[in-house]
Amino acid sequence: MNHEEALKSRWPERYALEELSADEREEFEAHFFDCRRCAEDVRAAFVFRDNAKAVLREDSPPKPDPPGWLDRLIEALRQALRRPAYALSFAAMFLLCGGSLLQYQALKTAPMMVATHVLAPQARGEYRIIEPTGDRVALGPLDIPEEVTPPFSWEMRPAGGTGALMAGTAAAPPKGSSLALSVARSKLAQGRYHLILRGGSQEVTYRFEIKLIP
Amino acid sequence: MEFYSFTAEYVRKLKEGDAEASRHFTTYFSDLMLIKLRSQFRALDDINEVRQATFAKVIEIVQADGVCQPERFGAFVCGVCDNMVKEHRRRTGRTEQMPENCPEPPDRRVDIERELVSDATKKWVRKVLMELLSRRDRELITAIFLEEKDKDEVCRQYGVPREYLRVLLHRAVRRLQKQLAGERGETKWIAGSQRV
Ligand SMILES: [Zn+2]
Repeated sequence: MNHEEALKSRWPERYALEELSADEREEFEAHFFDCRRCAEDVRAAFVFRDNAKAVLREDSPPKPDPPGWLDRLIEALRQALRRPAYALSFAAMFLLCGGSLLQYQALKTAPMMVATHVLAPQARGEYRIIEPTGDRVALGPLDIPEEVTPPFSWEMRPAGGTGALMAGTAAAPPKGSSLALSVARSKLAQGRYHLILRGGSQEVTYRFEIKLIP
Repeated sequence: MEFYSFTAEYVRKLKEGDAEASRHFTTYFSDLMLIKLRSQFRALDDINEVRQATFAKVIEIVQADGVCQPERFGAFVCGVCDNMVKEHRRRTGRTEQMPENCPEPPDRRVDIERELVSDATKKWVRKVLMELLSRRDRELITAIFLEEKDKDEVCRQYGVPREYLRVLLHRAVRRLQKQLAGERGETKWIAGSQRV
């Protein structure tokens, strides 16, 4: 790669926008470490990007919770508890993903800090609407049918897609606790998803739709 | 960022421990490695370890007259840095990059993103965002950098092609550079310094 090619194809901007493949990234890095003009462009793009993020974060008013989310949560819980087949408890939360212990503690000590989204098995075609508000989305507590037993494996797919976007396993939750999956909001674009939980040769599908608040 | 041309003279000065060349070497490559390594590590501690190991290794090779193409010194540093990443992964037992689809552990990227942020630069970036860009461009920048939304989705929503994001970033960066250059000129005049 030479400098003219790099400029013509806007590699500095594409690098800062994370649009390059791994091979392209490697090739361009070898170039801009040597090319002072590209190095300056790349550095300036990252300086702009990080400072803009800091400025926009400082200047944007904290987003209020969508009206009534707590009411919806309580209602969903009441409905779930009315059905004896689904054991659900708010005594504690147990997160599905790896490295979850810290978040588990945080949820326990400050349950109001994280907006949770109760998920029950939805009928085909019905999607639980979720409007994320923070950096992370807590999917759950999950309303797990009795026949689906731990240890669990899970995967998340875009609705209509076959490939898993993410997957993992979860051991049995501690007694009296329920299961939730914590996902970085940045991993979930607006759209419909299926969260499939398997255990004891049974599986259950939770359907939800991420709606980003404009 | 100041620039030197990479030449045999530069490498010789580095070998002799020339203060100016050494300062340039560390400041120039420190930022470039930070930028390079942020796609590979989530914690600033890991990046700092790799940066330090790279500096130490490069100096060791310079001392031993092991730099074959001084004019390609930058690419050489980049290669050493790649080796130090592998070394670091071997040592810490983390052989693979975090897979894309793995839910993230508590977010430590914030520390990395703070490295290039300063109050002085924020002042100029705020000016670019609020006074020199249109409202729509500001919204686009908010969507892709702050909210980290899917770029294709954002482009669809605003009815712009992907190329527009590159042009927008290019324009915003040029405006920021102009602001910073103006500020540097002022400082230079007050201080009476000859350095750019
Ligand atoms: Zn170049």
